[in-house]
Amino acid sequence: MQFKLTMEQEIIQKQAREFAQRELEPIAAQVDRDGKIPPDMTEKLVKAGFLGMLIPKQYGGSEAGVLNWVLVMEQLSYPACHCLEAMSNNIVGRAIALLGTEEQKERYLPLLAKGQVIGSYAFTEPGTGSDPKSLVTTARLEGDSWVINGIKRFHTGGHLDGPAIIFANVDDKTTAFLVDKNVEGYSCSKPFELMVGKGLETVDTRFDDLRVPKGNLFGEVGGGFNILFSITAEGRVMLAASATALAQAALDEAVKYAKQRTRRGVPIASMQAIQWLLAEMACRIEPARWATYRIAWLTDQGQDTRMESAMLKLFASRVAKEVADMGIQVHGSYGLTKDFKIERIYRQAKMFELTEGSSEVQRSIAAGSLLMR
Amino acid sequence: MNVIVCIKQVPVSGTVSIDPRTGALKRENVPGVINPEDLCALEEALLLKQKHGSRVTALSMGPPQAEGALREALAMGADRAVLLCDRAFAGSDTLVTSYVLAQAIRKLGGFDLILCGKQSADGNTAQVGPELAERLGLPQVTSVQRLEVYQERLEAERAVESGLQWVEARLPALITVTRRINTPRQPSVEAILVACREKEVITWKTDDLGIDTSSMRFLESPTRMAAAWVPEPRKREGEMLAGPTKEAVRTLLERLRQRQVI
Amino acid sequence: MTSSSDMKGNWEGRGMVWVFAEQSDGELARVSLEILGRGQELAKALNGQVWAILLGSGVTGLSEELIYRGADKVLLGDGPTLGDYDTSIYCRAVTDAALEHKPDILLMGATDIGRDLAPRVAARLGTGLTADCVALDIEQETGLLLQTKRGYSGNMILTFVCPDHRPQMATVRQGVLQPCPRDASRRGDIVSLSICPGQENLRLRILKKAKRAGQDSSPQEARVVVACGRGIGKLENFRKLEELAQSLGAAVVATKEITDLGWLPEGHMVGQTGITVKPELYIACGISGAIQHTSGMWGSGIIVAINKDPKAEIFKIADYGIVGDVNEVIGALIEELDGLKTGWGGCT
Repeated sequence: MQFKLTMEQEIIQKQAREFAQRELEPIAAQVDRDGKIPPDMTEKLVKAGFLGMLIPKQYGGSEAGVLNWVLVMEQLSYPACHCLEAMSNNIVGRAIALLGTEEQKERYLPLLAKGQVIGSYAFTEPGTGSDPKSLVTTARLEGDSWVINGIKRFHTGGHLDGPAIIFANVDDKTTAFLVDKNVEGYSCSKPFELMVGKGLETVDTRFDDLRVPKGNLFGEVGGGFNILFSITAEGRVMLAASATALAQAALDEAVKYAKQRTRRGVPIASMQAIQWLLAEMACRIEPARWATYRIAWLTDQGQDTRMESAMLKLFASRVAKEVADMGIQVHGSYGLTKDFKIERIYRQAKMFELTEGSSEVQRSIAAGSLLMR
Repeated sequence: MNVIVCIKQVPVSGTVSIDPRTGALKRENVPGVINPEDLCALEEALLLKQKHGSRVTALSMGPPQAEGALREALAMGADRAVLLCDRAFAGSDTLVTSYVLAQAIRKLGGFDLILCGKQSADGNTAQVGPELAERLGLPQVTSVQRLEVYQERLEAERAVESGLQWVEARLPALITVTRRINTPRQPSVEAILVACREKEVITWKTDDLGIDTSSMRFLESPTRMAAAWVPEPRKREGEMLAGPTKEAVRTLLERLRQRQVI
Repeated sequence: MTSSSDMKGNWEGRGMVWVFAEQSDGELARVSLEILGRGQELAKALNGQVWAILLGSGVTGLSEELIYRGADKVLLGDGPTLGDYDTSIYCRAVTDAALEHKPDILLMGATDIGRDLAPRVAARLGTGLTADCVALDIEQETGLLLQTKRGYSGNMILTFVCPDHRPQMATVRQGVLQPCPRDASRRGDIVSLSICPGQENLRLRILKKAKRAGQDSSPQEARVVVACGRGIGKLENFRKLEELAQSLGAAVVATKEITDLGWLPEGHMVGQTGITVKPELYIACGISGAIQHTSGMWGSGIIVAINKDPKAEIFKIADYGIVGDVNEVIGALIEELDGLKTGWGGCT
């Protein structure tokens, strides 16, 4: 058993780190404030090869695997800069590659790999949170099309051109559809103003008799949950990687601050109270990171990681929140000012306990799997 | 046109420490990166490849983990990568390093241009380039920040103490570059995967380089490290200079001169 | 290529220290005189002599100056082919002389020429070279030259020795060592060197030269940095600060309040939301020392703080502090530095 990154993984990780330092770090504070992402960001991500990592080679991707992708996501998340919506192409792309028809693969995968469209997925509705059974969006077959009616809430990237995976009930059977946005019947609201800053754009999307070609049925009627599990499994590992990165950023900021800030002539890093905070922060990050790598590796081996990824997200999201909180404490009141990175890390950290399946859902999933044995 | 680029894998800044038991530097299992100026040299070679269709060979002398640096060079676009790796090379100083590199370059065959970074981030000697040029009998142009290569000559812009200099040299030649010369490209994930999974890094040992028992003495480094220590993080002296302005200023300048900062 | 280790046993000249004396435009390089000064001390410790090796065209007159500055003998190469530095000719001249006289130690300035010449000489002679030394000493028991330098991005101090190969070579940067005081009563021999022609293919043709316009060093590369804070007051005072920076060859940076006024571009703002600098010397003028600023410069080598408030935070991280009117202090600094410049006495 080797607890070491391979040469290939190290190089990929290093390139991602350099990309983050060069392209994301300098603009992170600005993006948080005004949401203005450089228009060529997607192009840069494509050029670096980050968008096609989970898409098969024959469709223009690099098939780099989930572990390599997780290494990249971890590095790209470190600057706490929300401008990585295009990275969801990997999740959507992987789902299509595993569960789509040949026609769907050919139609969407090359475009996703090259960043020419941005993929997204939406399950949550105004009345429905993580509870899958209460979907209100419906779809019915009318001739050659499916007609979809409903609203999706907190649809991240729902306003960007590209395929959206929409979950709707067909006669009470949860089903997934690939919806091309910006067609008649598809409309978006303005983005929500979120705690996490302006960079992350999440909207309500509304379907009024939205017609979707028959060939856009994704999976089978009633097969929605399979699709959902596939997406969320990757989503959880990705979020765990991002959560770990944010926690690491919080720790690094806190250490830097503690060494510089003096009180009565000595750096506060020499005070036990601060030292204990830093230790508590560090000891949470180690297990979060290695559990993330392991579950990513398991996924690459083809194993079903539904339970593991739920436990992972539950744990890692809490790590991000707690470590960010401790990071602010180390900074004292300066942590409340926008001059310091820790302020933005704190606001972004809370998201992980809620998005893509709240911690409550993760607990239920984990418990369910445990008790089934 | 054949271009050879010498690269060195150096420890990530701040990761080298001293083994408390032996007093020697701990260099094993320390994360490594391609020396930043060597990366610029490699990028310059790749730009020449784009412009003139030249063949680029990346060459490195180092421990087994230096293979990572060469794989990165392949991912960036080098056509060939050669690692000179042998226990006998460990602990070599610049004279021996230049000897080994020269042997390898002679074995690689014809070349028109050798590119190196000016100096490494760990040794900071800026010696290997010129020593290599001497061994191979080549003209050298150091501290280059712009390069134009023609059929049998090159023109280079050098940064010197007094300002800038433009020089012309005949090919074949050896150039050392600084970071001002270009911004190295980033290899894509696809390129990295291909470089790691499909390409070959050629490894040569003493035998392959024609270094036999009779020439082993050329692997003995003239210089060796006698002592290494981490300077104590200097506690700020915090000396308040009292007295009338002129006096305080004179004392200050004296202190600064003593500490050799002005 | 002859390896000096082949001649290990035959290499006499123990205690002979050589200094390569650089010159340009008829003046000796300051660094060469500094090394000569130390060379004299090293030679004394070895019961030997220090020789200078001087190459150029029309430089015979400088030989005496070298003797006044501590050389016991000068090896002089004066001829039209040596007018401009040429790698091949200079390298050949130095190595031929070294093979003939077999010095124990050969030192050069870590200048453009030194960095070009020293490694070629070392490779040609097959000996060791340590570049950019911060100290040179003689080890008592062995008589070996201890060559000390900074390594690993300055995080470590390393000492090297060259036990079996000769000459032991090292280069030193300007400002590290001290020259001897000039003693016009000193006498010494001046010996002519025979100069071989250089190799044509090694020659570089200089197409164009341009002098550096002024200090355009980016703040993050500068060795010395002068920083401006709110305490400076008016724009005309800032001009004085710029003058101070110029006489120190320093880069100018500022706190956010100053760049907000537009006196300097944002890229010169040092602090939490700006750039981080780590110069050898950081002079903070009229800066209070709030952490938003200090987080960008606290790693500097030596920090000097000038502020009228004795309780200012900046004094807690400064090596030297002056409490007073910052503009008065700047004025006094400029005056004193001008005075220092004229005190050098005839060498660059």
